[in-house]
Amino acid sequence: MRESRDIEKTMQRHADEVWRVCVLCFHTHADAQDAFQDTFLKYALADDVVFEGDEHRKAWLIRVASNVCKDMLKAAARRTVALDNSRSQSIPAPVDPLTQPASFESEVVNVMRSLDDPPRTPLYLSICEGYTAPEIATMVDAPVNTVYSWLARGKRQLREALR
Amino acid sequence: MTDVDQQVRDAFAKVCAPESVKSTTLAFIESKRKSESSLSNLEQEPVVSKRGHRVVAARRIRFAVPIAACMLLVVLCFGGATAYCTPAAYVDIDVNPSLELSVNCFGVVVSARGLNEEGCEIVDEVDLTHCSYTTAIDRLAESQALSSYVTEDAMVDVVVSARNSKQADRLERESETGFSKIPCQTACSRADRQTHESAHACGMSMGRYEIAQQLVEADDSLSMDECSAMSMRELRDLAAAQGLSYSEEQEKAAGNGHEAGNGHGEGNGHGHGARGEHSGQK
Repeated sequence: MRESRDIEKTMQRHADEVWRVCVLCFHTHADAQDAFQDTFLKYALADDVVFEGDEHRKAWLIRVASNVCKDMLKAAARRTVALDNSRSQSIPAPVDPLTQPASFESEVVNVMRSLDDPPRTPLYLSICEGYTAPEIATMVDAPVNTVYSWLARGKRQLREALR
Repeated sequence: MTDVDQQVRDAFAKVCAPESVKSTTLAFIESKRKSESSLSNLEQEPVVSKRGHRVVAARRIRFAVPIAACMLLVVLCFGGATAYCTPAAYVDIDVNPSLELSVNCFGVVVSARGLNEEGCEIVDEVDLTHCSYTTAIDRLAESQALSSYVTEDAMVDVVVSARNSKQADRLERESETGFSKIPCQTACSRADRQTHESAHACGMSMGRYEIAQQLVEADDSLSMDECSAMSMRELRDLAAAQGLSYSEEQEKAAGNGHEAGNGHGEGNGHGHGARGEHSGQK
């Protein structure tokens, strides 16, 4: 397992980026927190991964966070418990700013969440993190031209939703 | 960056990981560390074989060096292959057939793709890949497929996007030399990575995207889709009619010829556009 200092330093530098990926995928603070926790646990356990630099580390974390969120969403969809997606969306987010800050539920963030994935994650990576389509293609393991199409489609959907 | 992009960026800039989440996560990881450490203490009991001797790890060491050497060889081959296949620069060529060549760090075209229907037809007919960029441009300039589009009043717009400015210089020079064989006007310039990404998100070449953006901003009745269907000559003429600064820069550049003295001096007006000033790469 990685040293505590390594984990703390990484969290200081990249907690916000990881958190944003989790917030992008989940409506509730608790789910986003679980995904955030799992991502950093994976980082702690991946002591055999050597990073070429901080940008490489950040990209790795974002990719892992995205995969963790996808796995959690798939597991939630498979569960036979009565709590289905439509119900979870209808539960209003708590107004307590400590547990659900206003920024978690802004109109723009909700619009981004409402997009299918893809193009949601590639669009986020392009707009908010400044990654190019070839970089995104490597991160999400898809052909570059497919990423271009996702970005064009996502931007169109975003423009229509925010009109 | 568009308004919508800026809205999204601003919204997510306000989303920050709460301190409580960070501290809970760190505490959770430390608790995992403690439980792992107590498990590993149990696993370190020596294993004793049926004959009463300890299992020796020496056998593993004997094979470690040749295995490491093989892995190093695989990594080097993979690294070389990866460097060959990875584009280091993109060159968008637009007349109205619009296509893009991806060039690796060795100056070899590793892929060619059409950005519109006519561009796709040309890419299907002319073999532009796995040869030097100079060869690819020569083949394109001499091809039957392109000849019907490059009439005397047409315009070929070449835009280079590269991380390395020396490579960008070289690609521009080679483009100017290669296209000097065709009868119409050629304009070469550079664009940064952001423009490359934005252009391709709209399904356009970089040159077309830059002019179209300015035209659409100046004229509400024009759309990006309409601009994507026009020839580069039509777009530039429209820009000139609108009195756009982009077109003025191009006119000046066309009159001055090449900075490096590569101009042909035949009144063909090869020039570097305002975009050449945006050569700083991310």
